[in-house]
Amino acid sequence: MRKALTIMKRELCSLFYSPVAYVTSVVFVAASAWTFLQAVETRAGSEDSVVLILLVSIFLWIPILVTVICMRLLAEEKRAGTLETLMTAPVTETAIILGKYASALLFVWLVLVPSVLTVYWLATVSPGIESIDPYAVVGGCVILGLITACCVSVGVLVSLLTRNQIVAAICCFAAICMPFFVKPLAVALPFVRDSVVEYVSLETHVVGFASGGLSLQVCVLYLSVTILMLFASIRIMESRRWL
Amino acid sequence: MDGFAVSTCPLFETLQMIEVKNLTKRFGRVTAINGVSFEVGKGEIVGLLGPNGAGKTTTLRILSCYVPATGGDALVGGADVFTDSLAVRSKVGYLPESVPLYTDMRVVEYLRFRGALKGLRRGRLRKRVSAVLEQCNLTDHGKVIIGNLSKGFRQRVGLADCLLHEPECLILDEPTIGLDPNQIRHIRELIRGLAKQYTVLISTHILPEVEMLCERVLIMNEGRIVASDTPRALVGLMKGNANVIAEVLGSRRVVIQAFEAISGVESLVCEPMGEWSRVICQCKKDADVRAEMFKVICENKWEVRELTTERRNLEDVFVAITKGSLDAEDRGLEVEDA
Repeated sequence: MRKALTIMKRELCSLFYSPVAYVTSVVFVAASAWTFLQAVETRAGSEDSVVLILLVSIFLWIPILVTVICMRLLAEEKRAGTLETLMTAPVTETAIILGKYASALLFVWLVLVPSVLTVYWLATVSPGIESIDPYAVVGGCVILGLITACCVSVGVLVSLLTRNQIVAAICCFAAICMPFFVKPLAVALPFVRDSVVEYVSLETHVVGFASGGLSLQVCVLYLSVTILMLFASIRIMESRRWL
Repeated sequence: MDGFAVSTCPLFETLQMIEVKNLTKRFGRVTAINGVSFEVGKGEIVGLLGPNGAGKTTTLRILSCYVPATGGDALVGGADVFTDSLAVRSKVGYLPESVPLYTDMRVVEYLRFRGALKGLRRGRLRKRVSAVLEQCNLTDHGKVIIGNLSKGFRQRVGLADCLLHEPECLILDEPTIGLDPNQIRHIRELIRGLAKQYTVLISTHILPEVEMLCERVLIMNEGRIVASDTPRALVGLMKGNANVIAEVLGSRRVVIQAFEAISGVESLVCEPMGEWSRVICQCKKDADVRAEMFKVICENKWEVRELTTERRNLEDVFVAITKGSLDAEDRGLEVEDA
């Protein structure tokens, strides 16, 4: 675990040494805040929850944020050849994957903090918003955390499969966008039961959590996918030693 | 001799740092290394020579656990590179050919990161980082960003990284490639200093380097070990056909006749150099004709200004072996291994 933390710290330092961290965070926060304010303006007077509008505004930009952060994680190591020194050091593949994963997730969560706080900023400057439901904010943060954890694990897996960052970025973006189309796809298929559609639909989860209703089932679903992706990444990395 | 049967003897185990038996690696249809077997004793400094594509880097990558072998066995410090790779990696300091480093980090930061990865705790990490900085003459460059360092200094950072966790064995893949003569000299001195403390397996195709550094040489060609001996013994293989050169002042015809009469001389060439004659005698295998030539010169009262054996070096051996003009038995190999 100590070695995973060492790798995580190096990755975070590397992000902040380069302009990637600053440009990505500023652009993401500005884009999500702008989308949020536009959506609030358009839906002025409607019954829609402000927290739900905020979450949708953030989710719109999450695939781009995760792609930019994850595309370089392992693809860059392969391209630069530093994977050779990493793999020949006395460190397990689990530590490498967990370290890389934790660094990317921590950075994504750091960038999300100011975006989530936009709703409180709006409440202070807008007299029309009387109060923000704290349960909705907590629920929103939980689902945001779960979905980003899942997306980053997909990003780590994709980054592991190629040394070309552009290929990694395109595949990562496509893989992360897929859950957004699960509901329309499932609805189009007549043999898929409604309960299954509801269970796997990202839209249903976000709406549910944004109204303050936490669901253990949903948590288990996202955590299971995350663990599965990380497990697959570790096994793929280990396979280099026996294939 | 079966190295792995013998390795069950505790005494033998303490003597061998690297044991490789029938190691094979295939990349699809291409066989990179084919049934390679060799051993490196503790404290030895062994050079792995070979032309490009001979399989040196692949062998070193297998020994450092970066790529798996298709067949055969390899033990480093008694641990199997395939089944006990973590133990092997903690015993080995590996410097890859391209010296990949994180160019956005400062030298000290990089070494601290690598030390932590290698399991060094705070106090020891600090001590080891200062020690390797001093050992590799990097003390003044600790705060320099790696991306701004010259290739020679990057090579030193790579070496410093190898030494951090005080490994039992150093595996260095072409450590002087792409460096200028001054940098090569510095790195060579550094490696020579390290050889006193560590077992070193060094791959290179710079032959004078091996002659200067290594106690033993393994020559690889087309994925096989084609020679294994000390540099001196390998150079000795060429001695049988060595030329003896004499420059004498005397009648050219008499000189040729007198030298041709010596029993060890196979053939000779006489080149006129003004009044002087430069005679190049090709000797028979294992014959040293210098004493007899000197005797002939004295008997004929010729003036002489040179009498020397043309020195063979590892380069001649390397060319002869890789072109297949030396017998397997001569190269210190069992015939079935060749």
